[in-house]
Amino acid sequence: MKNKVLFLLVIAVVVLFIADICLGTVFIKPHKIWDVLLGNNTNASENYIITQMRLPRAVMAILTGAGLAIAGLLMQTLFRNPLAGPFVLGISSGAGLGVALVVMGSAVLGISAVSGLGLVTASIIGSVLVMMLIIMMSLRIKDTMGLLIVGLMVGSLSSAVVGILSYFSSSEQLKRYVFWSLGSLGNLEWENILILAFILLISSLLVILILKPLNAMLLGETYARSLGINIKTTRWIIIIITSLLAGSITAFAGPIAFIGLAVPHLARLLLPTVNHKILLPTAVLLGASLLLACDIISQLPFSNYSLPINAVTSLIGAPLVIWLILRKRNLHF
Amino acid sequence: MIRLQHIEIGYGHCVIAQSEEDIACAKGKFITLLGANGTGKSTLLRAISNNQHVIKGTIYINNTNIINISDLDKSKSIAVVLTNREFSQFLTVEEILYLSRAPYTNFLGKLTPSDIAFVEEIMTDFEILKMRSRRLSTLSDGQLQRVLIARALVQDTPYILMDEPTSHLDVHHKAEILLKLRDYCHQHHKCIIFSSHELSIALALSDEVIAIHDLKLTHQSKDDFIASDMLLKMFPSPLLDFKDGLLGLKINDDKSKTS
Repeated sequence: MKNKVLFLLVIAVVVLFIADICLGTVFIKPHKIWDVLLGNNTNASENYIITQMRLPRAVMAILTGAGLAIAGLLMQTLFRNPLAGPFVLGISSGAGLGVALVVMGSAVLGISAVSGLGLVTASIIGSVLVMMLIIMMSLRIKDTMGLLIVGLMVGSLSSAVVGILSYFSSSEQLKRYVFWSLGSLGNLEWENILILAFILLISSLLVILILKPLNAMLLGETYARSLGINIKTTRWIIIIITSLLAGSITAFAGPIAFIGLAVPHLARLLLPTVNHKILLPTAVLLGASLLLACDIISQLPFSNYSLPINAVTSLIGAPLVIWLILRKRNLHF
Repeated sequence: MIRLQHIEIGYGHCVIAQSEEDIACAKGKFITLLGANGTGKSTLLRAISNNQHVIKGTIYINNTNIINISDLDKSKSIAVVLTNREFSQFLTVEEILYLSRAPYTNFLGKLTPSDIAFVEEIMTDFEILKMRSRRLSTLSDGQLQRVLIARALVQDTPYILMDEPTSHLDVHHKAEILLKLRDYCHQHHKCIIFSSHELSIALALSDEVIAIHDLKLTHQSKDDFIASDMLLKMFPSPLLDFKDGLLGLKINDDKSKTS
């Protein structure tokens, strides 16, 4: 059962990955992808579309989907709360605040002409600052639930500041901020994608180190401690992994909604198990394939239009989760 | 041997129980922890298992100060049964038992054949083989309590601390599980300390009694405890009838005195 699900998910990721590259405003036949990659294709525009637009997007969808799924699952296990997601510590709010300050506060701060790179930088600074704040707080706060509340408060504070900034900003600036907040998997350089891939690799290695503590934490913190698990270290590693993943993903792709919260639930319903050794690879594959599917839909193949990725993830994902819960009668957690 | 030296437990500066003398709990003893509500039974168990709420005094496990024992080493000598229900209800019986072999498994939690054999043995002993693949959420209170007790035994520690292990069971199952635990304790030479409000059954089966009364911890053999009429002092209630230092109800090993 477990192997079958994992096998099917691997196939889903491969098929959706190829489909994501082939489909778009122009259809490119699958066999041409090989030609382009091997340098055997002479059609310059196809070369450009694949290597500079669709391939980076598709790789980005895989990395983002996988990363958010890991972060979401870790947060749900740490807080033992089915409503927790990768952004529950306020990291995306911090990024949003950074971007809002640059986009809408530019008049106040005297910075003009905001480039795409400026947005990424602002978002990185915002999420790193919140991340550091949360890590500092977690040194003082012994109680895991307290940390959850602090995360929510940070989010609330950031959105208050963003609200004030929006109130005073021009419609042009407001539009720019709204566009960022709708998320985007495109327009990224290969270097950025490599950075994200590297962070995902490091995070995955760290997750393997804490697989046993994560499973022990399913017994609750007191029992886990009585089993010789170092709760403090585990909590630290979880916070660091989540901050790295959620921070870098938000920096490059904006606050991608839904995936991190829903994918762990989908994985649990699909298998069904709470064992992280099985749940983590499933969530990674499921996250990647779900975001690839959402990206294909957001491109509205064969049309000249596209939809914001954030709208699509929720439009597709929310009914999916509701349907699964209705079918299985209850949420496994 | 668990030894409590001049121990004072409580919260902040507020002492809730103390003992001038050393209290020593030896292997092979089935020990009841008695006390009215709020006298500090759970606090004492937490003090021993985690060194929490200790205001003064020292706790030794096999003559090593508990402060100097690492979490991992402690997990190989003390197992606990808690009253909290914070674990994932979605775990299966088998999974929670396997996870409790954590002190002995490698960093990935890989179970060896001997780990699995040990868990099988406990499942057989405690008659939970039939429910091995059921989720915890589907168990009755009594079944769940039995699983939690088995979970502690799976940890294979010389000392086992249980906070009201029989609280959700009916009177027959209370007697049954405590009898089983006592036999297990004697056969495998374990030291089991359990808190209980089930005076008759607990006193009928235990070897020794730790009592908390009037801010004092006392540790006596069961017979001394009964002879000292402590129960009457601990529960001065007009509703209760204590005969020969016991509650007027007894387990069926002594039918003649049952009223």
